[in-house]
Amino acid sequence: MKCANFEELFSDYMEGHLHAQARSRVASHLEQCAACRADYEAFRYALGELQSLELRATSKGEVAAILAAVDRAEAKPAGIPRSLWTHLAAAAAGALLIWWLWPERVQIEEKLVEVRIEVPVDRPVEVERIVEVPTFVDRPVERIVERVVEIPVERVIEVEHPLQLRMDRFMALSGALAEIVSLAASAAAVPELAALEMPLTVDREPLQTRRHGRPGRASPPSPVRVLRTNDRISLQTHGPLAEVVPALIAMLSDDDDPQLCQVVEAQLTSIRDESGLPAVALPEDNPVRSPAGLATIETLIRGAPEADEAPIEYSASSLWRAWWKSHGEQLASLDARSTI
Amino acid sequence: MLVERYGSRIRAVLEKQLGDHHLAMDMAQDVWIRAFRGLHSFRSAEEGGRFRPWLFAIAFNLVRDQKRRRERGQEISFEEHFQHEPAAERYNPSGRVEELAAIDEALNAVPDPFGAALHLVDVVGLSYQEAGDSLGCSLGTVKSRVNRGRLAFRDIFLKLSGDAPRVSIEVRNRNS
Repeated sequence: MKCANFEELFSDYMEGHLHAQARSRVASHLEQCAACRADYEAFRYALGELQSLELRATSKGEVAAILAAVDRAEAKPAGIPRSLWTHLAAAAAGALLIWWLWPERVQIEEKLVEVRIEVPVDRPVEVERIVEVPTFVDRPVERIVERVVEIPVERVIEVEHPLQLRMDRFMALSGALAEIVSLAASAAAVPELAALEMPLTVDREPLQTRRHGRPGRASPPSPVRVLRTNDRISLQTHGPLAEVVPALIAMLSDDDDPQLCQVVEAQLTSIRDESGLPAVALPEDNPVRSPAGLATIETLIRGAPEADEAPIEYSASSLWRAWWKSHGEQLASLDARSTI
Repeated sequence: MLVERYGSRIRAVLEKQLGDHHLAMDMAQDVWIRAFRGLHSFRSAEEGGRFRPWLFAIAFNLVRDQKRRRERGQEISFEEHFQHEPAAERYNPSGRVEELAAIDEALNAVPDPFGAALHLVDVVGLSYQEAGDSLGCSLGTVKSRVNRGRLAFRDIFLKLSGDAPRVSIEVRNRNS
């Protein structure tokens, strides 16, 4: 690995986003090149200092000033405004309330609400989001359980009256916050929306048995595992490239998840670049649809095309299958030699 | 509430972009007013909406408008010098006031677009995807900007600390 390209990989290497082969090469280069090793250590040190910055919490004065500004902008009359029901109806359409609390008990006023306490297990699991729709005066609470997970449920959240629900009843706990934006900063503050952003580690493997604390069976190891943290996707690969690459290529046909496809394609590109093998040769003028391009890819995938066969639009999946068909054996051989 | 949780982060982002504490305070109120007015159209989490990038995107849109007004001469600044909130007041000090000032100075010196991406990810704490959504760029672009921002921050911070790196980093502005 050349020093000039090394710094481009600093972040990916430090955050564990490189596949095994690339990670191994970077580690090897660090062992051999004192200059790059010093640069990387300086990078880690500086980033550690930067990430040690912790913004102060918003002061009460600032919160009050913001809410007062919102009030002025809306010029709400005293008491419950006439437009409240309009806002409540709009909030009902889009409002989701998610509470996600650690084992510590939350101090509440029992006359107002009961609190659901979820006890997350200390390992990556499919997470259950308890979705609560804020109640209104004439509507009951609806709880929507999106996915069932291996977490015992102790008690249930029920909001008795929206006008009595106040966020100062809920403590902010590690990894979770319940948040409400008040439409009116008056004494009768009405919780309208609650949105919870929280770190999640979601294992995308198929769910096994998932019912109230009974553990599911362990899945067999997969050459590729997808991990999602918030909206960040990372891939963990396991095993020889002869298994990893076809698994990655198969994932490219998931058109419903373009973000995942982007990450997968980046991984495949990285593997190809690390191997030094060429990409599928395509003509420059019309890389996909020109007769020469069609002949190249079609021949690689299916053999010689029929004379009257309509041109096919090639997806990333097709291009990578063509590449694998062309260079798969060579890549597997290189991979086998590098692990000896 | 959301104002409590994100208020200081929005203000920090605005101050980083505008370079002025008081202007950032004023604009922060505009951000929340727009957020409040747009809540009815905000897609719920169930529909794939994410509040954080949506909120920060509002902030960056307002910054962009403000900068355009400045360029067209429509904004007259009555302040001769922009004012930064002291680092000791913006961050939890943990007994490291001088170090905080050096880190903050280096962070503010990282040029945009790398500085904005770096600030969102490593200070405000957004994910790469959230930062990309807030800035209106792709995941790959924001990751590249963050990495370059980190490299630039390293160089500047180590120089401020009196420990220059062996290799000087060329920060190429590859706008996408």
